[in-house]
Amino acid sequence: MWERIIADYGFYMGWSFGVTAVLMLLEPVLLNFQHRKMLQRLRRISRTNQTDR
Amino acid sequence: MNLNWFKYSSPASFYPFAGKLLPWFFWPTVLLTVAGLYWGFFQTPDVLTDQKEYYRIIFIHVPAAWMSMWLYIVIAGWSLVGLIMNTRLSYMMAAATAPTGAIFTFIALWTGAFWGKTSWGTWWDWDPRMTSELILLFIYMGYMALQAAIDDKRRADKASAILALVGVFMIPLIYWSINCPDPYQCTALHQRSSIKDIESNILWAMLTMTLAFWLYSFYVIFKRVRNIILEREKHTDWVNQLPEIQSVKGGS
Repeated sequence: MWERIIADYGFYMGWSFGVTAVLMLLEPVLLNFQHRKMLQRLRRISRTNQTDR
Repeated sequence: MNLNWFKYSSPASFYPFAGKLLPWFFWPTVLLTVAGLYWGFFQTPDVLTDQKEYYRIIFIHVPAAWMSMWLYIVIAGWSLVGLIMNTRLSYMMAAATAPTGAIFTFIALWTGAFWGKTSWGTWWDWDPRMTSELILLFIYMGYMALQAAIDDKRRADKASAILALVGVFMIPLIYWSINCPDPYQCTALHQRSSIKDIESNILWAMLTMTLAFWLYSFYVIFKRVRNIILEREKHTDWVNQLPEIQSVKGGS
Protein backbone atom coordinates (compact mmCIF):
# COMPACT_ATOMS: atom_id res chain seq x y z
CA MET A 1 0.00 0.00 0.00
CA TRP A 2 2.68 2.50 1.07
CA GLU A 3 4.75 1.93 -2.08
CA ARG A 4 1.74 2.89 -4.17
CA ILE A 5 0.94 5.95 -2.02
CA ILE A 6 4.56 7.15 -2.21
CA ALA A 7 4.70 6.51 -5.96
CA ASP A 8 1.40 8.28 -6.64
CA TYR A 9 1.38 11.06 -4.06
CA GLY A 10 4.89 11.06 -2.49
CA PHE A 11 5.78 14.35 -4.17
CA TYR A 12 2.71 16.21 -2.87
CA MET A 13 2.66 14.68 0.61
CA GLY A 14 6.45 14.85 0.93
CA TRP A 15 6.59 18.56 0.15
CA SER A 16 3.58 19.33 2.36
CA PHE A 17 4.66 17.37 5.43
CA GLY A 18 8.38 17.98 4.80
CA VAL A 19 8.24 21.78 4.65
CA THR A 20 5.86 21.87 7.64
CA ALA A 21 8.22 19.66 9.68
CA VAL A 22 11.28 21.73 8.75
CA LEU A 23 9.58 25.03 9.68
CA MET A 24 8.14 23.72 12.94
CA LEU A 25 11.45 22.17 13.99
CA LEU A 26 13.56 25.11 12.89
CA GLU A 27 11.54 27.71 14.80
CA PRO A 28 12.31 26.44 18.36
CA VAL A 29 15.91 25.59 17.39
CA LEU A 30 16.53 29.15 16.18
CA LEU A 31 14.82 30.57 19.28
CA ASN A 32 17.10 28.43 21.49
CA PHE A 33 20.13 29.69 19.57
CA GLN A 34 18.95 33.30 19.91
CA HIS A 35 18.38 32.80 23.65
CA ARG A 36 21.87 31.32 24.16
CA LYS A 37 23.50 34.15 22.23
CA MET A 38 21.54 36.73 24.21
CA LEU A 39 22.55 35.20 27.54
CA GLN A 40 26.22 35.18 26.42
CA ARG A 41 25.99 38.86 25.53
CA LEU A 42 24.32 39.75 28.82
CA ARG A 43 26.96 37.82 30.79
CA ARG A 44 29.68 39.71 28.93
CA ILE A 45 28.01 43.07 29.64
CA SER A 46 27.51 42.11 33.27
CA ARG A 47 31.19 41.02 33.62
CA THR A 48 32.44 44.24 32.02
CA ASN A 49 30.31 46.36 34.35
CA GLN A 50 31.73 44.52 37.36
CA THR A 51 35.32 45.03 36.17
CA ASP A 52 34.66 48.71 35.59
CA ARG A 53 33.51 49.10 39.16
CA MET B 1 -5.14 27.91 44.92
CA ASN B 2 -4.88 31.67 45.14
CA LEU B 3 -3.05 32.77 42.01
CA ASN B 4 -2.37 36.46 41.55
CA TRP B 5 -2.55 36.92 37.76
CA PHE B 6 -1.55 40.59 37.92
CA LYS B 7 1.77 39.51 39.36
CA TYR B 8 2.56 37.89 35.98
CA SER B 9 1.82 41.03 34.01
CA SER B 10 5.30 42.20 34.95
CA PRO B 11 8.09 40.95 32.62
CA ALA B 12 10.29 40.25 35.67
CA SER B 13 7.73 37.77 37.06
CA PHE B 14 6.64 36.36 33.73
CA TYR B 15 10.15 35.53 32.46
CA PRO B 16 10.86 32.74 35.01
CA PHE B 17 7.19 31.63 35.00
CA ALA B 18 7.25 31.14 31.19
CA GLY B 19 10.55 29.24 31.53
CA LYS B 20 8.96 26.83 34.04
CA LEU B 21 5.96 26.24 31.73
CA LEU B 22 8.06 25.36 28.65
CA PRO B 23 8.45 21.60 29.37
CA TRP B 24 4.70 21.40 30.12
CA PHE B 25 4.04 22.47 26.54
CA PHE B 26 6.95 20.69 24.85
CA TRP B 27 6.22 17.07 25.82
CA PRO B 28 2.43 17.18 25.23
CA THR B 29 3.18 18.75 21.81
CA VAL B 30 5.48 15.84 20.90
CA LEU B 31 3.05 13.21 22.21
CA LEU B 32 -0.01 14.71 20.52
CA THR B 33 1.81 15.20 17.19
CA VAL B 34 2.91 11.54 17.18
CA ALA B 35 -0.59 10.40 18.23
CA GLY B 36 -2.33 12.67 15.68
CA LEU B 37 -0.09 11.58 12.79
CA TYR B 38 -0.42 7.89 13.73
CA TRP B 39 -4.19 8.26 13.93
CA GLY B 40 -4.32 10.23 10.70
CA PHE B 41 -2.16 7.83 8.71
CA PHE B 42 -3.07 4.41 10.13
CA GLN B 43 -6.59 4.62 11.61
CA THR B 44 -8.40 6.53 8.88
CA PRO B 45 -9.96 5.33 5.59
CA ASP B 46 -7.81 5.50 2.44
CA VAL B 47 -10.41 7.44 0.53
CA LEU B 48 -12.33 10.58 1.48
CA THR B 49 -15.32 11.01 -0.85
CA ASP B 50 -13.63 11.40 -4.27
CA GLN B 51 -10.15 12.03 -2.84
CA LYS B 52 -7.55 9.31 -2.41
CA GLU B 53 -4.70 8.98 0.13
CA TYR B 54 -3.39 12.49 -0.48
CA TYR B 55 -6.36 13.89 1.45
CA ARG B 56 -4.22 13.28 4.58
CA ILE B 57 -2.62 16.66 3.91
CA ILE B 58 -5.70 18.00 5.76
CA PHE B 59 -4.15 16.81 9.04
CA ILE B 60 -1.69 19.69 8.78
CA HIS B 61 -3.51 22.01 6.37
CA VAL B 62 -6.71 22.50 8.37
CA PRO B 63 -5.08 22.83 11.85
CA ALA B 64 -2.52 25.29 10.40
CA ALA B 65 -5.32 27.37 8.82
CA TRP B 66 -7.27 27.39 12.11
CA MET B 67 -4.14 28.39 14.04
CA SER B 68 -3.36 31.19 11.57
CA MET B 69 -6.74 32.79 12.32
CA TRP B 70 -6.72 32.04 16.06
CA LEU B 71 -3.23 33.48 16.58
CA TYR B 72 -4.24 36.67 14.81
CA ILE B 73 -7.16 37.03 17.24
CA VAL B 74 -4.65 36.49 20.07
CA ILE B 75 -2.42 39.28 18.68
CA ALA B 76 -5.41 41.62 18.39
CA GLY B 77 -6.46 40.71 21.95
CA TRP B 78 -3.01 41.43 23.42
CA SER B 79 -2.82 44.65 21.38
CA LEU B 80 -6.17 45.80 22.76
CA VAL B 81 -5.09 45.01 26.33
CA GLY B 82 -1.83 46.88 25.67
CA LEU B 83 -3.60 49.96 24.35
CA ILE B 84 -6.15 50.03 27.18
CA MET B 85 -3.95 49.11 30.14
CA ASN B 86 -0.58 50.21 28.73
CA THR B 87 1.12 47.02 29.90
CA ARG B 88 4.50 46.28 28.33
CA LEU B 89 4.08 42.51 28.50
CA SER B 90 0.88 42.62 26.40
CA TYR B 91 2.76 44.21 23.51
CA MET B 92 5.61 41.74 23.96
CA MET B 93 3.16 38.83 23.81
CA ALA B 94 1.60 40.24 20.64
CA ALA B 95 5.04 40.68 19.05
CA ALA B 96 6.03 37.14 20.07
CA THR B 97 2.87 35.64 18.55
CA ALA B 98 3.17 37.25 15.10
CA PRO B 99 6.01 35.15 13.58
CA THR B 100 4.33 31.89 14.66
CA GLY B 101 1.03 33.07 13.19
CA ALA B 102 2.79 33.98 9.95
CA ILE B 103 4.45 30.54 9.81
CA PHE B 104 1.08 28.80 10.26
CA THR B 105 -0.48 31.01 7.57
CA PHE B 106 2.37 30.11 5.22
CA ILE B 107 1.98 26.39 6.06
CA ALA B 108 -1.79 26.62 5.37
CA LEU B 109 -1.15 28.24 1.97
CA TRP B 110 1.74 25.93 1.08
CA THR B 111 0.00 22.67 1.98
CA GLY B 112 -3.21 24.00 0.41
CA ALA B 113 -1.37 24.46 -2.89
CA PHE B 114 -0.19 20.82 -2.87
CA TRP B 115 -3.61 19.54 -1.85
CA GLY B 116 -5.24 21.77 -4.47
CA LYS B 117 -2.97 20.41 -7.22
CA THR B 118 -3.93 16.82 -6.44
CA SER B 119 -7.65 17.33 -5.86
CA TRP B 120 -8.57 20.36 -8.00
CA GLY B 121 -5.75 20.18 -10.55
CA THR B 122 -4.45 23.66 -9.76
CA TRP B 123 -1.77 25.04 -7.43
CA TRP B 124 -3.57 28.31 -6.89
CA ASP B 125 -6.91 29.89 -7.61
CA TRP B 126 -8.24 33.29 -6.59
CA ASP B 127 -10.86 31.53 -4.51
CA PRO B 128 -12.26 33.83 -1.74
CA ARG B 129 -10.82 31.77 1.13
CA MET B 130 -7.37 31.38 -0.47
CA THR B 131 -7.19 35.06 -1.34
CA SER B 132 -8.25 36.19 2.13
CA GLU B 133 -5.72 33.81 3.73
CA LEU B 134 -3.01 35.33 1.49
CA ILE B 135 -4.06 38.82 2.62
CA LEU B 136 -3.77 37.58 6.24
CA LEU B 137 -0.16 36.55 5.52
CA PHE B 138 0.52 40.07 4.19
CA ILE B 139 -1.04 41.58 7.33
CA TYR B 140 1.22 39.40 9.51
CA MET B 141 4.24 40.50 7.47
CA GLY B 142 3.13 44.14 7.67
CA TYR B 143 2.77 43.85 11.46
CA MET B 144 6.29 42.43 11.82
CA ALA B 145 7.77 44.95 9.37
CA LEU B 146 6.19 47.84 11.29
CA GLN B 147 7.57 46.48 14.58
CA ALA B 148 11.05 46.29 13.06
CA ALA B 149 10.89 49.64 11.26
CA ILE B 150 10.40 51.90 14.31
CA ASP B 151 13.39 52.16 16.65
CA ASP B 152 11.42 53.46 19.63
CA LYS B 153 9.82 50.26 20.91
CA ARG B 154 6.96 52.01 22.72
CA ARG B 155 5.93 53.76 19.51
CA ALA B 156 6.44 50.59 17.48
CA ASP B 157 4.20 48.68 19.91
CA LYS B 158 1.40 51.24 19.69
CA ALA B 159 1.56 51.56 15.89
CA SER B 160 1.58 47.81 15.33
CA ALA B 161 -1.22 47.34 17.89
CA ILE B 162 -3.41 49.70 15.86
CA LEU B 163 -2.51 47.81 12.67
CA ALA B 164 -3.37 44.49 14.38
CA LEU B 165 -6.77 45.84 15.45
CA VAL B 166 -7.52 47.23 11.99
CA GLY B 167 -6.56 43.90 10.39
CA VAL B 168 -8.79 41.82 12.66
CA PHE B 169 -11.71 42.29 10.24
CA MET B 170 -9.98 39.68 8.05
CA ILE B 171 -10.79 36.85 10.46
CA PRO B 172 -14.60 36.74 10.03
CA LEU B 173 -13.99 37.38 6.33
CA ILE B 174 -11.78 34.28 6.03
CA TYR B 175 -14.13 32.21 8.16
CA TRP B 176 -17.24 33.05 6.15
CA SER B 177 -15.59 33.18 2.72
CA ILE B 178 -16.43 29.62 1.79
CA ASN B 179 -18.54 30.00 -1.30
CA CYS B 180 -18.06 32.52 -4.03
CA PRO B 181 -20.30 35.55 -3.33
CA ASP B 182 -21.66 35.54 -6.86
CA PRO B 183 -21.64 32.09 -8.53
CA TYR B 184 -22.24 33.73 -11.93
CA GLN B 185 -19.04 35.73 -11.63
CA CYS B 186 -16.71 33.09 -10.19
CA THR B 187 -16.54 29.59 -8.78
CA ALA B 188 -15.19 28.85 -5.31
CA LEU B 189 -13.04 25.79 -4.71
CA HIS B 190 -13.64 25.81 -0.96
CA GLN B 191 -17.17 24.69 -0.20
CA ARG B 192 -18.90 24.50 3.17
CA SER B 193 -18.96 21.03 4.73
CA SER B 194 -20.80 20.07 7.88
CA ILE B 195 -18.78 18.64 10.76
CA LYS B 196 -21.33 15.78 10.95
CA ASP B 197 -20.32 14.65 7.45
CA ILE B 198 -16.69 14.05 8.45
CA GLU B 199 -15.77 10.46 9.34
CA SER B 200 -15.13 10.33 13.11
CA ASN B 201 -11.52 9.03 12.88
CA ILE B 202 -10.62 11.77 10.40
CA LEU B 203 -12.26 14.40 12.60
CA TRP B 204 -10.53 13.22 15.79
CA ALA B 205 -7.13 12.95 14.11
CA MET B 206 -7.59 16.50 12.83
CA LEU B 207 -8.63 17.77 16.27
CA THR B 208 -5.65 16.01 17.88
CA MET B 209 -3.30 17.72 15.42
CA THR B 210 -5.03 21.05 16.13
CA LEU B 211 -4.41 20.60 19.85
CA ALA B 212 -0.78 19.69 19.10
CA PHE B 213 -0.35 22.86 17.00
CA TRP B 214 -2.01 24.87 19.75
CA LEU B 215 0.41 23.59 22.40
CA TYR B 216 3.31 24.06 19.98
CA SER B 217 2.24 27.70 19.62
CA PHE B 218 2.30 28.16 23.40
CA TYR B 219 5.77 26.58 23.49
CA VAL B 220 7.39 28.76 20.81
CA ILE B 221 5.55 31.95 21.80
CA PHE B 222 6.71 31.60 25.41
CA LYS B 223 10.23 30.91 24.16
CA ARG B 224 10.15 33.99 21.93
CA VAL B 225 8.63 36.26 24.55
CA ARG B 226 11.47 35.31 26.93
CA ASN B 227 13.95 36.48 24.27
CA ILE B 228 11.98 39.70 23.71
CA ILE B 229 11.87 40.36 27.47
CA LEU B 230 15.64 39.87 27.76
CA GLU B 231 16.29 42.14 24.79
CA ARG B 232 14.05 44.96 25.99
CA GLU B 233 14.90 44.74 29.68
CA LYS B 234 18.63 44.11 29.34
CA HIS B 235 19.53 47.33 31.18
CA THR B 236 17.44 46.53 34.25
CA ASP B 237 18.76 45.17 37.54
CA TRP B 238 16.49 42.14 37.60
CA VAL B 239 17.92 40.86 34.30
CA ASN B 240 21.44 41.38 35.64
CA GLN B 241 20.50 39.38 38.77
CA LEU B 242 19.10 36.40 36.83
CA PRO B 243 20.68 33.09 37.97
CA GLU B 244 21.57 32.10 34.37
CA ILE B 245 23.67 35.28 34.09
CA GLN B 246 25.07 35.29 37.63
CA SER B 247 26.05 31.59 37.72
CA VAL B 248 28.70 31.83 35.02
CA LYS B 249 29.84 35.29 35.99
CA GLY B 250 31.24 34.13 39.34
CA GLY B 251 33.17 31.21 37.85
CA SER B 252 35.02 33.07 35.13
